[in-house]
Amino acid sequence: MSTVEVRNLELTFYDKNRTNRVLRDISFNVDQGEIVSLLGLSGAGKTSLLRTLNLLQRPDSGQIRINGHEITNLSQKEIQEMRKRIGVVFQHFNLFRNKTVYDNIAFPLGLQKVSRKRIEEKVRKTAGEMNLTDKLTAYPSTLSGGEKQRVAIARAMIVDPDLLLLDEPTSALDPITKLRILNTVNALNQKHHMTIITVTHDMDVVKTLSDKVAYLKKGLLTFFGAPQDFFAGMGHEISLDFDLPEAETGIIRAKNDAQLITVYFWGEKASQPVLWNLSRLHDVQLNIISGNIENLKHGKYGHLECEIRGNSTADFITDLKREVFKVEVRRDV
Amino acid sequence: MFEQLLQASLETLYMLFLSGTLATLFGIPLGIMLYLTHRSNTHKRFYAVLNITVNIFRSVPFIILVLLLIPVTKQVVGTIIGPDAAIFNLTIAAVPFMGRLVENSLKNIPQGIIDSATSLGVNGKQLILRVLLPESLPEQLDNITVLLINLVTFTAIAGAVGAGGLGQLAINYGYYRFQWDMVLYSVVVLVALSQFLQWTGTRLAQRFKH
Repeated sequence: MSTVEVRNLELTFYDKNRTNRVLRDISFNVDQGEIVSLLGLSGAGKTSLLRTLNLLQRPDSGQIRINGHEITNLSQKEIQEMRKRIGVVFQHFNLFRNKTVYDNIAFPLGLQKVSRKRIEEKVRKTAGEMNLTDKLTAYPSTLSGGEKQRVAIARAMIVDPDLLLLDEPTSALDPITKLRILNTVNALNQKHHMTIITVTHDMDVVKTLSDKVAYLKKGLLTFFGAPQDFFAGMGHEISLDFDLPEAETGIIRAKNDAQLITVYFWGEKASQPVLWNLSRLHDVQLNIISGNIENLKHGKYGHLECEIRGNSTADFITDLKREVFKVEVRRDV
Repeated sequence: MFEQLLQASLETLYMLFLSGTLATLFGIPLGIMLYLTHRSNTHKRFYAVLNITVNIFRSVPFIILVLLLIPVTKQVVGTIIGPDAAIFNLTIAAVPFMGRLVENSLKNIPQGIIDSATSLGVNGKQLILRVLLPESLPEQLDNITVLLINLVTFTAIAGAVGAGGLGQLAINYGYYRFQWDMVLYSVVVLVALSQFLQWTGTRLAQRFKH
């Protein structure tokens, strides 16, 4: 269960004529046992940020503290020791091709002074947790994508890490396998309580896994906080970034005499007939144009684009703001 | 006549396997050194020196190298004639060659594997012994095969300057006495040897490929 504090990280890549500021003054905190998603488009800096956390990539400046200890000034040997307690899982698995599944999983223990008997115990236990018991003698080339990723996770987990770093762990997998892997990661987090930081460009990962979201855009951390605040606050921007369909529809389809609002629900209120009750109370005509309600990790989150018409729309909106998570007036009459 | 052929074949095999073993023993560490210093930020100058040295040795034609090494060979081996002197020259020519082969095959290990090994906290020795060499084992076996087959050719050239072996036999009988049947027999044995090395090498490498 590690805490991770990042302060003022800077990283610039020099590439022929271009100077690419990959990380710009990045600061955030991760608490013990939290799962944080690093989200953003390709090139936003999320993988670079992840790679600085185990010093695979050295930042140009800034501080990184794991459990309160500054890691940027450690000696090479100390860094190697630190890495033995951090688990890493990559997008393309990176298994050792000429080693069996057993030897891949056992590899980290072989770097420490662990007896052969103890290694076998731990490998069998971890492989069992990941449903790999009957694949132990196989070589990676014979495995499916999901199986390879499970081996990679087993190899990362076998040292009982306090911190797990995942780099787009499901990007190379089909949707069903992806869901299985995400559930596995969640289950591991429930059971072992390790802190997890995962890079992703996939909203499903954000929704099902994350306690916090760190949104990166061109090297800047433009948002850090809970997922429901992220979706409610950044909705428009991420719709544009990720080319999601919601951005333009409401504005195009509303009739001229109607007021356009976006209503955001979070938690138990998402399941209650708030709109129905209030619209009857204030005699407001309500038409839902588009919207979505779905399950985030810690509760239901919904947003609805609505047209409203009537004499008491202002009172309606005032009351509504008290009941729901957030109301945005998109266009006034 | 047959005894001469047998004697020459045994001399060739002796030269081949001894220089091959020595070239592998020195060539693999050389290749590892080239690979690691090339990628490091702190040893770039060392790489530059090593790289140029390897290039120089590889650009000198083998027969010229033998001539240039005459004084050294005399000091180290005591003579410039015979298989032992040849082994000295062959090894010096083969080590840079093997170094390059090893370096190239290490470069073909995907960067992701190196990243994951580094992320697991390996030190330098563990990286080499537990990751670089095992992950490139089939390729190293291929490299040894290429090395040995090249050495077959080189031993024959060494025969032109008194090394013994099938090369010397072929040149003595063919070039100086025009007895082409001996030449033919020598060539047949050399070709068979190369084919055998290639066949064995490929099958062995295949066995370790997963």
